[in-house]
Amino acid sequence: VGAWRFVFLAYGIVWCALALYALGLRRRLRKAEEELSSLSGGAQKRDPSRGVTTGLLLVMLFAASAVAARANQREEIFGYMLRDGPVRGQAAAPITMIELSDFQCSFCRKFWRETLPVLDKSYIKTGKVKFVYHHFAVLGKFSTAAAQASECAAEQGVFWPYHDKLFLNGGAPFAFTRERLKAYAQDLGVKTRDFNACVDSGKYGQKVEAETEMAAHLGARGTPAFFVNGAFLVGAQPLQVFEKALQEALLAVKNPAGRR
Amino acid sequence: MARSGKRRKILGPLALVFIVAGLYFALVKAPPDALQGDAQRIMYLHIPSILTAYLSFFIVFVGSALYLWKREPRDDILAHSAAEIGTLLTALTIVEGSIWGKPTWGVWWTWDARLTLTAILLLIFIGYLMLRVLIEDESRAAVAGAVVGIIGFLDIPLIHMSVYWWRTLHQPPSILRPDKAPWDNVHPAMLTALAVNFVAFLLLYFYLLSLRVELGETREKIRRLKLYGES
Repeated sequence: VGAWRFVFLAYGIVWCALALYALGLRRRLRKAEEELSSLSGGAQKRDPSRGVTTGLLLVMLFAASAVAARANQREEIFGYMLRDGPVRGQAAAPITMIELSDFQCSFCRKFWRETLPVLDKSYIKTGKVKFVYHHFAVLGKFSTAAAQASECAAEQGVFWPYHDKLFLNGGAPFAFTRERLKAYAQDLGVKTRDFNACVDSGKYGQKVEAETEMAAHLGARGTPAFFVNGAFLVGAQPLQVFEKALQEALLAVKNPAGRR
Repeated sequence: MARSGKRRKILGPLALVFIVAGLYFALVKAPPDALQGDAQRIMYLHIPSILTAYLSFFIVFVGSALYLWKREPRDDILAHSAAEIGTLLTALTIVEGSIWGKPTWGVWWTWDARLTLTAILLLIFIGYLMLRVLIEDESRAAVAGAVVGIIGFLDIPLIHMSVYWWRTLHQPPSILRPDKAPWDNVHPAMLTALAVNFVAFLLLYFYLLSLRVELGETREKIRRLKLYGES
């Protein structure tokens, strides 16, 4: 939403300036024509292209509503992602961190292996951050299959252990065939029959696809992508980058008047 | 005069249609950039406005050269009109770039080669416009303006090549790359947004130019009437 302020400012200034210039030009022309006709005594001429400048002002209105609609759509997606997803951490935590991720992607695994444990210990468990996982399954059918299976695990309340299992095994070839996905769940003691039926039914296919589309709509172009209280972060960046973003978000929450 | 009025009757509404379509493609349809996020949408203004400004200064160049050669007031009016609109577009380009620079580079302005050369271009043409106001003798103002207009135009190749010649913060072109076709380099939805906005700027530009030229012609008639009692 921060970047939209700048976009709106730029479009506003440009189209307002051009509209004002066009209006000014037409006034200058009208005046010159009046002077000319008073000098030569001829008939007055009027500029035929009325309404173009009023039109330009209408364009401004349209731009404003387009920006508002777009921002609204983002709000809706964020609303869904905050409401409806596997969460770890305390509900009252001041910062929400959303991960958009793919179980097959090696940078997502790197984040899970190296960064998430540290964040978990010092931010999530301490009640500063609640961490939400959403699917951004972009690496083909094994990615979507794993994402769907994780939803089946969520049904039985074992999303996070299953998520760890998937990332742990995700590096091997053919780690996410249907049989292997079922086998991982068995180790976690789920109701096997329900889980297998869920995986076979493919009933979460649409959800995974929809979330992937939403992620793209929010501007994610690579996995993993993160939103820390709405601020965008992409890639398995060094721990310091995440800590800095979290610290900044904490500061902003504590001191809402202070701007970056 | 009647013909240019008719031309504007088509150009104006057409420009409006493209401006609205351009806004839709730039703000709604195009995806946000992977690295720059939504701020990149300012590019759909930035690139068309500077390219249109280049075109405008090229018209200044041609008009000025023709005027120096043939001394037809018509050519000078064209050059003067294009200079005025080109200056506005250059100023807007700098403003857009600055607004984009703040969230992306972290600063409103930096003394990067391309930025500095563009600021010089703006200053040259502000100088041009002041010259036209300050020199009272119309034909002397026209000659002086023509010389400044030609010199000012020579800044544009410098601006274009600056990102190759010097180590600049401003990125090199993504569309006019020598080694790659635009459609291999840029997302098609982004390319569409850029193209539609470029057409919108061109249409609006020619609308404004037609208006401005007619203003110049009317003033020229007034001047002649006052001087010789004829038009």
